[in-house]
Amino acid sequence: MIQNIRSNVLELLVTMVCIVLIVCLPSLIVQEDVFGFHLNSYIESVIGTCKNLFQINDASYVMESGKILSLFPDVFERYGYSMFILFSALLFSLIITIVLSYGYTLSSVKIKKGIQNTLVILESLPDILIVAVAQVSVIWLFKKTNLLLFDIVSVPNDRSYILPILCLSILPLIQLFKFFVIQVEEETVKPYIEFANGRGFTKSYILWIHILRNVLIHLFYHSKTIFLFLLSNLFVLEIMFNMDGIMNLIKYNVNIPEIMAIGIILIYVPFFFFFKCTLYFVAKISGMGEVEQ
Amino acid sequence: MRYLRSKRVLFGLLYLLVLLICSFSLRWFFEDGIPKPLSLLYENGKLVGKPPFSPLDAPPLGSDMLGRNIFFLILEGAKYTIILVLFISFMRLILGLIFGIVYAYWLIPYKKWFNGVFQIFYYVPTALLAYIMLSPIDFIDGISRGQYISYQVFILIVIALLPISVMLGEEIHLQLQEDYITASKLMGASRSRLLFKQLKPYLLPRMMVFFMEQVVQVLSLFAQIAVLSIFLGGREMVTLEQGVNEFISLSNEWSGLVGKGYYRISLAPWVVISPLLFFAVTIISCNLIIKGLEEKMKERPKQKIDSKNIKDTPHQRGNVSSQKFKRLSQ
Repeated sequence: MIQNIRSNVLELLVTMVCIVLIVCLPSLIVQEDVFGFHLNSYIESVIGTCKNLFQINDASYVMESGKILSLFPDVFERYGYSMFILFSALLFSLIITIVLSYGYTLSSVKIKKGIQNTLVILESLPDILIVAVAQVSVIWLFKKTNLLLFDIVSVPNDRSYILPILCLSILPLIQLFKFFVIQVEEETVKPYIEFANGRGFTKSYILWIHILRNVLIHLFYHSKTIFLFLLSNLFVLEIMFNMDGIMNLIKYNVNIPEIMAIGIILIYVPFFFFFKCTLYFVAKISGMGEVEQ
Repeated sequence: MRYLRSKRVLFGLLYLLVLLICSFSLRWFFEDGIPKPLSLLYENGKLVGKPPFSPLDAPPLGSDMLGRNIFFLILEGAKYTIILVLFISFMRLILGLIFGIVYAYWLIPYKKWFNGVFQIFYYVPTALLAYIMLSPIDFIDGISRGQYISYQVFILIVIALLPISVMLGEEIHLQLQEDYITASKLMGASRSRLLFKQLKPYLLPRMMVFFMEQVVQVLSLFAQIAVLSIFLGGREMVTLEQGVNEFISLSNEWSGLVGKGYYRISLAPWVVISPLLFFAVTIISCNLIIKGLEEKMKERPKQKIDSKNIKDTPHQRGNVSSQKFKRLSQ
């Protein structure tokens, strides 16, 4: 246990150092408009960033409009907005996935094959395409019927919620559904399901009580991947909707390493603990043993 | 060759091939590779339209702000896009494999440290990393086009190198624990013999799947950096009307096509949607190739392969050990 904590702290520290090293990289390649390899200025920039990180309270950042504001407490509001979108999308796609996989298990073999083939096509759609199509169709609907279903662009006073959440949930929905399909297929051939079948339980009872529970545990083991997927979609989404979230903050302050570092650390640290704790407890509860991630 | 018998692989490869051939043969028909841009549209001597033309006025996919036909632009850009993607994925694969072998042979004891570094790639999207590295050089003058493109390609390769090598390294390390490897070691096999005799047949088919997966990832990365207004292969400022300037991509590769039209999406959606559709179709055909390869690999009775081991990035590592355990206990 102690060793576990020690190695986790080591991991946390190494990652923090790496974050600082990465956000300073631009000064390695470009120094006063000269393209090249500037090791000196890179080291200077790393040291400077570290110093600035310790007195981050009076830092200021550049807004999308070019205005300069102080970083705190704005950053928390932006962070909250991004995370709200992220988690609502995740929740939404999870619920839909569970409903869909319920339908999937109850359908015939032919339909199952069809669903699997459609999934190959759907998972290939780039995220940009989905957002672009969503925006264009809302605009088109607005032009035709004068009915604005959702806000297509976000401005600080009038944030859009519904369309970003919908767009952000489509691709994870497809990924999650694919994951469920694979896991459910794997689970149904196991002996305990056969036994349950033999005892005469209905299909839906077995799905809800037995299969779903085991699939959800597997899902926890893959939560990091899904999280990464959501984050990278969120990044694109914030740019395309011009949302004033944490990703846009990082994007517009690409010249100020300490702001980028703060942004990335804000995303990293809470989720680091979240994943460590959930994986620890899930491993305890399910008895499947801890998984290295 | 055995893999070509799969319909999916054949279809995917054919699509890529036809796209490339069309793209290269355009030069034979048009001077610049694309038909002359339409500037204004007259009907019975009356001015009825100016660029961008809709798909109805300039079939089949409309035109951009300069009046150039989108369909031919996409075809013209296809060769740059596909060759770049293939090159980047190939270099990622080769370098990743080399570092992966180094990692599996010598660096496994320092796994904890690598894990710490590795964590970043779970929390920073690749597109953001690419933006951090690629955006600073846009503001520099006096950088030649060759330097520009080679730097961009270099970054796009390097960005994913660490996760790829660690993942491949773990995979190789796991394989090195198998009984037949131990037996071979006991009989005195050297490291290079282990690599070329014992690991090669295991790695080769997986590498094909892995390569195609990289192609898919790089393609989606290209689509993502499109909205970041990063133009692969250089950009150029053109004047549309008086006082209105716009960057266009010099190479017409697809992400440039998407990026330049993006902020006009409500005015001319076809400028953005059609290159994205081509992205989607290309990714679908690559995924088909992957599916076909995996199916063919499963058919082979000699080698048991669980395609899941090698999918995506590192995340399935947890599964690997449990599956291995299952295989052993059976």
